[in-house]
Amino acid sequence: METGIPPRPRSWLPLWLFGILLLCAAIVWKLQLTQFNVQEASEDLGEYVSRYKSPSFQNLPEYLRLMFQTVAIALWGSGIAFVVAILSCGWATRNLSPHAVVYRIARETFSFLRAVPDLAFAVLFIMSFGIGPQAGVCALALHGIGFLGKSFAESLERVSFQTYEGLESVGAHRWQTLVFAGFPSIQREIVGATLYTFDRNVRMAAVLGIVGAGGIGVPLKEAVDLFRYSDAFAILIVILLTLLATEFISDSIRRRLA
Amino acid sequence: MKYAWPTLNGQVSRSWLAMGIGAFVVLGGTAATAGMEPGRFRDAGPHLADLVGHLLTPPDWQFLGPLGAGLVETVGMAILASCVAIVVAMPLAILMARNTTPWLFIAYPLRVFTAVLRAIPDLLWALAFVAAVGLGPVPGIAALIVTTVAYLAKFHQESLDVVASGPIEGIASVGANGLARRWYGVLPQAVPDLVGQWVYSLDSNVRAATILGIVGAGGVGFDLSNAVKLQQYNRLGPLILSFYIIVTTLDRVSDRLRRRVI
Repeated sequence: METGIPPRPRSWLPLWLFGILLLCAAIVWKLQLTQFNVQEASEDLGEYVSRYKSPSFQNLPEYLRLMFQTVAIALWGSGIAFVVAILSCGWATRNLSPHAVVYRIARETFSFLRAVPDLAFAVLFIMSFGIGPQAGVCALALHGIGFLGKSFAESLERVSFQTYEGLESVGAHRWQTLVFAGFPSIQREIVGATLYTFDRNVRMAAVLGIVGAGGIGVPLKEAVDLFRYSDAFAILIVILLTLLATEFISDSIRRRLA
Repeated sequence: MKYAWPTLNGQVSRSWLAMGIGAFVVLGGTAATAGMEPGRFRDAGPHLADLVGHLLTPPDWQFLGPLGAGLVETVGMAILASCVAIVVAMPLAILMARNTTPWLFIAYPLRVFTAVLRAIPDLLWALAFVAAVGLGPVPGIAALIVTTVAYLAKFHQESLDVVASGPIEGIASVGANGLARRWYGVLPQAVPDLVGQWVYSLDSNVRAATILGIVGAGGVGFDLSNAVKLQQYNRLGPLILSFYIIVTTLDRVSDRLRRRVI
């Protein structure tokens, strides 16, 4: 060999790309998307967007009240989720759980609650609570318990076992180990995950009203259904500003704690 | 003193105490607005028991066929939306990142633009697209694409921003032009991050696609809202179970994919 350059490593990239393209083509064929007329759709879309001409803020006090309700739903959903998750996450942590069976059950419960979308919970709860914010709070709380419980438990498992051993060696009970060694070690993760949940819950609470679970989504759905586009436009602006504001606030809290 | 908190003076830290009291006050103040009245929950008790009963009724076996078709549609929508979004988000991110953008003056407006797109929840996009182009999976895919592009562009931009400058300078020092600097200097450093974000986007799109059907934008959510409206309670159990199975399977697959790359 004259040159000292080693041979180029074989790349699987073309194969991957080919496979993904094939998959996409199969999906397009299976969902019969080829019958979809892109030009017509974009014309329809342009026409639809043009209907949102000028926002009408006549009912602004009502919108602000419902936006406040939306944030309240998110707060309560996150609060309940936090309390339940922090009390039960010890059972779902491998090295702090009283028994392997308890661990499995707790873990699977959390992943089940996390897997079912909050909107699906909301649809089901409306059957029990009727139209109103209660169904929204319960839906956000259940989904949040799954998310927070799983992420707290995973953070607790990542803590070095010596931290726990230190307390166990002086005779600490399981609960004492969890509270005095576990939680202090994952403070930052707890705050981060909880803030993320709140952020997400405000976004979800804004759309929960579409299925009737209270908040700003209720008048939005009504306005869209009744073709009152200037009202819908105003509601969208209120939602957009609130979501940007909550994102900004939680970002700044996160930055201060990080 | 029997117990001491793991702080310097053994007392509960002031800031934690303040946060606890603050949370209590905020939740107390918003209780009425959020409809947290004990009476409402007492009344709902028997209905909740009914709901659990509905979920546990023997499933409607005839429904398994349509359910399977709905799930295939859901996952197909998510995969297609993720693929399109990745292709669109990549160049956007390159334009938005400080160290790869050819013109800084275009980077900041693009960041603001994607932030605004990100602020609108996918279900609202779906609602608008359904109103504009009609029912079916197409408005759902479009809604997923918009939201996915918005956050992938931001995540990609952050991963590109933090890339080490050494390798880029190294390539520049042997005379690489702009494109080569980005292709061989920046991208290889960011690829593990990017792949993780792609897998995440697929994950979150499948979750999102399951509920888009509630506003008529295709996928299995349509079956859910229909089952509730038409009181076909023996379909609820299989539906909820299928959400669980599909999301946890995907979690495992994406975990494995991510571990292979990183």
